[in-house]
Amino acid sequence: MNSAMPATSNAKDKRAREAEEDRALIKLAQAGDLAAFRRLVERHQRRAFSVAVALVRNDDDAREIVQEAFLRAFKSLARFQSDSTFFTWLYRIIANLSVDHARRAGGRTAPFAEQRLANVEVDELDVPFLGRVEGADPLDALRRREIAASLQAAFDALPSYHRAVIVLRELEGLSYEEMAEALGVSKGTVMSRLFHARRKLQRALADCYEEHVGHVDRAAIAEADARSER
Amino acid sequence: MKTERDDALELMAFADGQLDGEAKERAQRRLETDPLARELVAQMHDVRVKAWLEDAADEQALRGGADHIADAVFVRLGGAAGRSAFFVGRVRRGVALVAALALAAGIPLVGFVRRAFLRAPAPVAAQLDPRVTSLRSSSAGVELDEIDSPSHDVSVFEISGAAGELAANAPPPSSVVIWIDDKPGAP
Repeated sequence: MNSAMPATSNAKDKRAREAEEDRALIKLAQAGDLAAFRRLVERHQRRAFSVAVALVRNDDDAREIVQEAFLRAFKSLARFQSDSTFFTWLYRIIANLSVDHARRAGGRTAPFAEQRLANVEVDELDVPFLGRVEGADPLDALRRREIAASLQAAFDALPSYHRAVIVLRELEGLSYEEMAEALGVSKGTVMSRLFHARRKLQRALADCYEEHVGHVDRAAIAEADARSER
Repeated sequence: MKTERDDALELMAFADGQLDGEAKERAQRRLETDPLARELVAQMHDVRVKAWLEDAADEQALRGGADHIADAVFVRLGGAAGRSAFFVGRVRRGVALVAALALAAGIPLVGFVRRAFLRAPAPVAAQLDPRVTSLRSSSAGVELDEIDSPSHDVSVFEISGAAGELAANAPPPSSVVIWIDDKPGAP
């Protein structure tokens, strides 16, 4: 198991710098500089898409929601308060649009995993590797594929509110307060969702490791699970 | 009272760098003495999950066309149409500001015109009523009569048509103004 690595201030500093650059772009956009707004969209389109996919489980719907979110942000730029961060504001719009989308869809959307499988050939199911952390030994390729597939399956099986907190925290590095603001829930709810989502992913990882190397400390995981329930 | 669940969440918050002050110190002390706490924190911050998520997000962004969202947004904004949508609020505010400035400038202008009119050379009395008792001359082509009244000074002005406004051969229009002085009992 990897050692605990409490988040350093680097990530915070990076996000603070990005937020400052966003504010400068917003100021220009508010003065009518469309190129500045385009730059803002380009900076955030990928991450916004990840958040939207986590929430609605469909690429096309996610892309549509992100486009709409940027349009709404554009129309409301004059009202944007510079004391908040652009991405928190944007993610809040995406979260609201996703809720509306889910209401409209009313369960008509196919499960995400099914969509993914339906859209790709079997050979393309090489979900992302873990090369950066597992080394590049070709003999490990199969195992890494299976680990990634296990994580993908576990992630797809999570409810959307669990996926959203995972993406906002692990990919975007948002603080608990920012996540709460973006999702419109309390900080305690964010923490609880994040904890349980991580536990589920960790269990998937443990199952996969146990299958291949057979020395997973299941007792520790079970104890941690029990603690979180008490 | 803190539960073990609270403890677990606090340890997770520590792993995420979300704790400060006393809570942070408490979590650090706990990690020094409790192997299960260390295990929990390690699981909460497994770099493999983060690495997989990053790769998955990149792959998904490529597959889903996330890099073309800006193009689509600007197509939907429609260039000038989008620009006008953005500026419509500003234009409205600009019009309101100009109107307010015009109004603010107009009020003193009205006052100025009124004062200028009242300061104009005294009109000449005209014989408009048998009760007229005095007649004064004026160079403005306007006549003024004063009328006896028990309580107020009453003056009658006849203002002839303004020079330059009259069409050739047209009879000059005129206006009659009755001026009642508020000073009661003036002679």
